[in-house]
Amino acid sequence: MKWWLMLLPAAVAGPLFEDVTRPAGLDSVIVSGGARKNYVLEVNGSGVCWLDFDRDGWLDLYLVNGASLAELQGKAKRTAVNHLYRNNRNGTFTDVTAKAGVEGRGWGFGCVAADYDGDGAVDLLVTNFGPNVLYRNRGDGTFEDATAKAGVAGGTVWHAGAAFGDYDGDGDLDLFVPGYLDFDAVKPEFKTCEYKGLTVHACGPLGYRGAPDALYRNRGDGTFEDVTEAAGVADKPLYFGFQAVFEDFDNDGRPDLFVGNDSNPNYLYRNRGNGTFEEVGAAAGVAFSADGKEMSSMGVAVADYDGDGWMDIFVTTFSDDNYILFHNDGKGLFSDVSYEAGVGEATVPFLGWGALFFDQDNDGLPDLFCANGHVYPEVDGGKADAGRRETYRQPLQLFRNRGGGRFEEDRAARALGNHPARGAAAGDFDNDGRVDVAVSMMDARPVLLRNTAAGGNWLRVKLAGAGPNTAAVGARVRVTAGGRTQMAAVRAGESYLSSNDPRLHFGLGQASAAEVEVEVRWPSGKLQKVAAKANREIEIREVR
Amino acid sequence: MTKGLLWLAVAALVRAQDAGALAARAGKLAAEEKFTEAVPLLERALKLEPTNSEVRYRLGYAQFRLKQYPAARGHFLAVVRAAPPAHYSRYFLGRIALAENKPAEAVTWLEPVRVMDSASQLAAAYAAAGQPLKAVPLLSTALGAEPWDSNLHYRLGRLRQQLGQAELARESLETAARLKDANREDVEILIAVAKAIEGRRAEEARALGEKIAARAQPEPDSLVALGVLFGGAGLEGDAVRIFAAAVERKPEHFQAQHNLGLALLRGGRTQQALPALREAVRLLPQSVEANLAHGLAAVMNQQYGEAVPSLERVWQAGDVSPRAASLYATALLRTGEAARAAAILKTAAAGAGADLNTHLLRLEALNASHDSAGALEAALEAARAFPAEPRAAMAAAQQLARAGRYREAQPQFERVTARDAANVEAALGLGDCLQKTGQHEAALPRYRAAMNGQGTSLAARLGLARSLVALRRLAESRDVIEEALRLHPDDAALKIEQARVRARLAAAP
Repeated sequence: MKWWLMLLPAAVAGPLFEDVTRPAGLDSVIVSGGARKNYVLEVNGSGVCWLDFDRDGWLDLYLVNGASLAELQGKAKRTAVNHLYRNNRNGTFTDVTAKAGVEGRGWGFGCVAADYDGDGAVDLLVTNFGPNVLYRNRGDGTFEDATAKAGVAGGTVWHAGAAFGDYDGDGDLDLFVPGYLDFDAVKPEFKTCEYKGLTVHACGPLGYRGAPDALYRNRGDGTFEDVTEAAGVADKPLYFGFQAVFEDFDNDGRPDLFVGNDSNPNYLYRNRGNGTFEEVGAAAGVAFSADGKEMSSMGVAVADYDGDGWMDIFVTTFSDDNYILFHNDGKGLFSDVSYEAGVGEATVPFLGWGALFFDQDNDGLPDLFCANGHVYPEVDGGKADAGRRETYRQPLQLFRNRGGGRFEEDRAARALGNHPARGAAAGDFDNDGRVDVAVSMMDARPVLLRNTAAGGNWLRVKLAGAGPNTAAVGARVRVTAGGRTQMAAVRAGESYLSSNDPRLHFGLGQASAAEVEVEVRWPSGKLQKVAAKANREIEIREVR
Repeated sequence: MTKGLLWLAVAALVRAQDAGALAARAGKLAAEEKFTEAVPLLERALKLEPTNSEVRYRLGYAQFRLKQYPAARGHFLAVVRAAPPAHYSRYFLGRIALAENKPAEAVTWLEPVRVMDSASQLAAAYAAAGQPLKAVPLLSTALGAEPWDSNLHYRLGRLRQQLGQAELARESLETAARLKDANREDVEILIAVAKAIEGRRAEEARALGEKIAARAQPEPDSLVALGVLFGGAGLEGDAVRIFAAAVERKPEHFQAQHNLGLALLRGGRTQQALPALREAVRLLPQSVEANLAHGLAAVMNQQYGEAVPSLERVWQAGDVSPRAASLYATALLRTGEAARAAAILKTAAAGAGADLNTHLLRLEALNASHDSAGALEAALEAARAFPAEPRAAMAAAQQLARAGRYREAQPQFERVTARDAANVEAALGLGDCLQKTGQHEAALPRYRAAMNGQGTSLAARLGLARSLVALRRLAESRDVIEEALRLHPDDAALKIEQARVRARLAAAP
């Protein structure tokens, strides 16, 4: 076991977050087609990933960039590339994209950081409109394009929020990539539809054919095989898949798979433990909202928010529908508790994307963060007499976990202004014991929010798996302090087209900083217990 | 009573008898138009009994007839002060002001008055005060009482000329000219009909009217005037018959077509009214009244597309009354112009006299134009304006629920159910509010109450099943769903709920 002591921050600058995008040097603009948004391809934005690519103990940031239709059609040269920002360990970042060789290609959407080849260096999968790109980390600060060898390009369809997980329990990470929809970028159909009396053109996804999802089994030799059909996760109805998350929802020790679908029922694939899944979304209560309606699932966040030992699911949705909090009542059976939990009413006016559970104020209760923004710029310029109140740019929302299964919006977050937000990822980039947030924006710079809350004690847990799953994706950690037990899991790929800090962060509130019990359930099922002290990062290595 | 007081009472009685006798004598003289002789008698009577407002009014009237305006004004003013509202004294004060060319003062006296020909007088005052727009409807009212009066038609024509309503002016001036040339006998008959109607002698009025109607070639204007008198007296059938005869005599007669349509509308014969009103609008497209009536008839016949241009003209002419606005908005709403309808109803709902229906129609328009925030504001505004109206509470409750504000919706639904326990929509809404806020036990009876409703049965059963699941009463939930499936065997939501319950039953220990 290895211990790292991290220093506490010197000062607290504000109540919630400070926008440090410019001082941090994050000056690249995320591009997503033209400003007018004439096609659905232009409105979904892209994701953002926290990863420590150079293994220096400080989180680096990867931003996925879009493109223009003219570029896809070969009529214009590529102007925007993806960006890898190396953390300078002093609150600033340096763009090392070119040197690292991770510019991406085509029109990027999502990213997932995970060590797929088990060499200890975190790799990057970038999902695209068109073939995906798998960047293998050489371990020397550079990456190589391993897509062809790995066999995860996925063809020409529009790929969305992927996730890594060891579904077959063979010790290495497999990959699930949802397909969004079938869009003809060469001869795109210029559509016109009506949204609340406004004429808009970025119509969809309804009216398009969906794109298929894909599950790739890691052979353990740097290559993958497509097992979509065999594993029982073929997206036969071709739902508009947005974000996948591997998590063990029924506590049987095997990662299940949740797929948030836009305008269609969500999938919940229960892992049978024999290399196959069974789709149980409707029976489990997560396919539809409480009212039995299909939702436009965008982002997905997973956490045991009420500390009952079962992982719950939160989904952001389109405006006029509330975001949905599915409480896991046990054994992977869920109830939509959005309104009684306090996240229903406040989210109705907004269109949500990135979704994050993290303990913003270190009180020991995971809070909830939502990145919002409309898809239609036209809502800002509606007919004066239509009385429309929606805006294209929308506030970021933070819901404070008040305990007892109740949330309350902390409207101080709205002081951060309105944004055209999309992907969001949580990670303690300055290692000050407070979880920060990076948010990808539409046609704008990203936003980096440094957490400035005056919170309680904390513990950060970094896991090192013994096998090829070096970051222990799928492992669960239970932390007990001050009589309260919290649970978190290592995941690769969630929120919206994004992935979070792989290290697990636990707020401990005012519990004694002296002794914290930590229990790890490794993906193999092995249990390991350690004692720790608060306000530091600990690394726990899996004992074989 | 003391002796002194008794004496005073007797003296007062004698004075009153003397004053009464004098006034009676003066009344006889006035009836013979002998006002010069009546005045001293009334002055003596007033001296005997200075607080007698009736005697003072009669004295003022006699002086008015003698054009002794300053003296008359003093008496009328005293009556208005001593015995308000004193409509007749106000009326003559208005007449005096008009005679003295003080139209603004005349308007203040005549505006609250509804006696004699006050509408005509007030119209004159408005016209003289440079407010022809206000004068026009008053002259129309006056014409309703005296449709044969060519002078009223003439004045109306002149006013419309001032307003630049050339076609309307022409129509009025032509009518005036025709009536001036009309058979003198017809005018006398019409006056006799009006008197018979005033005396509530309908049969006599009909018999007199036949003298005109039964002519071989009756004058269309006389027929129209007769029809107006019948219509004003509530003799709708007779009015329709007479107007129809006028139309038959002269199909291009605007007043004949317009009044025929109106009479048919009043009689509830909306389908038959529509062609006549359509023709009236064709003959005189500038007529606000005709456009309004045509718009109303078209809306009542669900001919919304036909109604829109007519009601647009009414709106453009400045009629922003809640009634006109509601009609226009209804026509727009039903033809897919919800946003325009909402804008019009916003003005109407803000105006005095806007009823709940106007507010609810605005709400419908806002929802149809997808302005959910505006609809919520409108619903809350209606609930505030009509606190005792269950429909307003229901609208606010539904709008709040639609916005996800279930906690605020709950008391509104409760207001409805408290007044109307049989309202299944409200029971369902209340059940949903309670369920969304985690009050599942309390939601159960509400859903059960809503299960009997034709339109709420399925939703109520689903709600009941879901709350039972939340309460972990799985077997009961299963039974509710199975029963519901017997009623709605193809409902997908029920089947999904059934799958949820089965999964939980299977997982239960």
